[in-house]
Amino acid sequence: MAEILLAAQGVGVRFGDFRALSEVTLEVASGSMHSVIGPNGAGKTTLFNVLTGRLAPSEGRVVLGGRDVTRLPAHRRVHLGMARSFQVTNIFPELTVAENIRLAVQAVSGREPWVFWREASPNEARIRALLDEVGLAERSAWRAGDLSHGGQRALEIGMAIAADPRIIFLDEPLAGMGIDDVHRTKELIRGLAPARTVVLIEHNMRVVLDISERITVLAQGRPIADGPPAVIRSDAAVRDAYLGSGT
Amino acid sequence: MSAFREGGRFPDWSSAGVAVALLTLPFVLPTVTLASELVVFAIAALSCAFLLGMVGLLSFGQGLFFGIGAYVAGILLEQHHWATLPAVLLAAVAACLTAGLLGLLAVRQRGVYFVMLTLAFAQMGYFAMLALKQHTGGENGITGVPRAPLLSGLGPLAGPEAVYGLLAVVAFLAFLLVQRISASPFGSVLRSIRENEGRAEALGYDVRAYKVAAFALAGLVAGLAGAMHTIFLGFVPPNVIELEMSERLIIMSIIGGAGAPAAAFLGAGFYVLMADWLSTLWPRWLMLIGFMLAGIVLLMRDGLWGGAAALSRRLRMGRQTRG
Repeated sequence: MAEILLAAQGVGVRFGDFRALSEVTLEVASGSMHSVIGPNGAGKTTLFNVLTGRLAPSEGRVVLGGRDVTRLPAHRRVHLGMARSFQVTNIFPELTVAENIRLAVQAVSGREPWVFWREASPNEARIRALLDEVGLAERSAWRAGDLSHGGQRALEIGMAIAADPRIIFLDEPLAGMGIDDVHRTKELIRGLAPARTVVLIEHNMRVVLDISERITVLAQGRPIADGPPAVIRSDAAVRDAYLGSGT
Repeated sequence: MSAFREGGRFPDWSSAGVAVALLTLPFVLPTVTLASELVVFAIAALSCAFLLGMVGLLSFGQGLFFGIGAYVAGILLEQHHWATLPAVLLAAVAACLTAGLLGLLAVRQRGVYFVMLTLAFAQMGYFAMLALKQHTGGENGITGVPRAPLLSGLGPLAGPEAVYGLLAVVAFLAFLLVQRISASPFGSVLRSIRENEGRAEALGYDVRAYKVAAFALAGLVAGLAGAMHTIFLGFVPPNVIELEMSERLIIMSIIGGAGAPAAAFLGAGFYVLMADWLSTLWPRWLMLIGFMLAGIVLLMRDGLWGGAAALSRRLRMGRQTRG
């Protein structure tokens, strides 16, 4: 088995009396496409928040490339090669599409963000390549808030890959997309691995079963199954908890 | 048109506009004193407008940093007989460092709680001034601040015209600094924080560190304005560090519109001239300022600057349709 890039060890999150996550252990292999699925409220986004540093776990550890990052804030983890997109579109709506991407590139350009005595000197070629990769080159001068829903989701992914991360977390990237966008975005996500490691939350089972190498199933804050798609598809506990009949 | 929102260029036509305004003010206005007062508050309002327009931080504490600048300059000039420029410089640095330290605390909270913390700082400043009576003169302030030479060895700042010249140069430099920052990579980070703080953090920006830096910088500009106030008046009245000073600076920047560095100058100019005129008409003139503020907030949310920008846009479009 390939080297483990990211591991969660016994992660638990409590909000008051409510246990959002309990004893979650997860290993993501380097260069793999790893999906996290589960019914609504299973704790998938909470798990993402812990893994990316938006939320500190009540117990357990998060290890990235052998380094314990449990207490590291989100912005520091980006510089260790972690990036994410959000379930609810999270962009800079008043800025242009190109400026959204430029800000994402600038964030990982060493001391550049602290430069106050001159104009920005953006890496135009890199920005252009990213816009091309997510299919927004034609709309680069648009106000980001004016993009269609699908366009905003694509921009979101573009901002996540702009940091050239080793591992990228995509939280329901296909949510609310039309058929054409779903196909295009699926291919975009598929193309991210194996150069990058991808951790994906997605409700579109057809896509998840198609592109994932490994799937972890969460239910009520606990992992109930973990394995390749073929195994997950036939797992009885998973069927009960989530897939139901007919999916 | 709103340079804080979109970055803008450096320098742009508004830099030239501010330079022209600073050069002509003493000739257009009835007295040089009035022009000087206007310029001092233009610098101070710039500090508020920078925080509000660019980072989205509403600070009720800028009067504190204004006051620190005024007192430090006053103490250095009156009690330690420093030359003007070093005194101004140290006053601004003191305000900047205080703002940086308080900023470390304030940025731990957001929204209303951030505003409340800045309000608390401003309130504490006044009582600290009273507590340090042997240095600050308590409720009497510091009187008899001499017009020291710019640098020791040079001649004294003779006359109000020379003082105005110094004020205008400092105001222009402060304006250029803020405008330069607005159109820089650092400025773009501040804008992204105002737009969507959580996203900026997720992109890898240490949001708190940038906010502290912006707060310290605004403190520097406010402190500079305070020091200029002392030099222009020749004494330090205790009201420079009162809560009402913070309030006045906020009102000026909201009247101006906080959309661009020049908007702060516009707001301060409007306020100072209105105050000068209205106070001769009615002793309760502050009430009229209150009405005006309400009117601007209700009818022109982007202030005078935003209103002027909308007007010029409409004129230009009118010309295009006719042409």
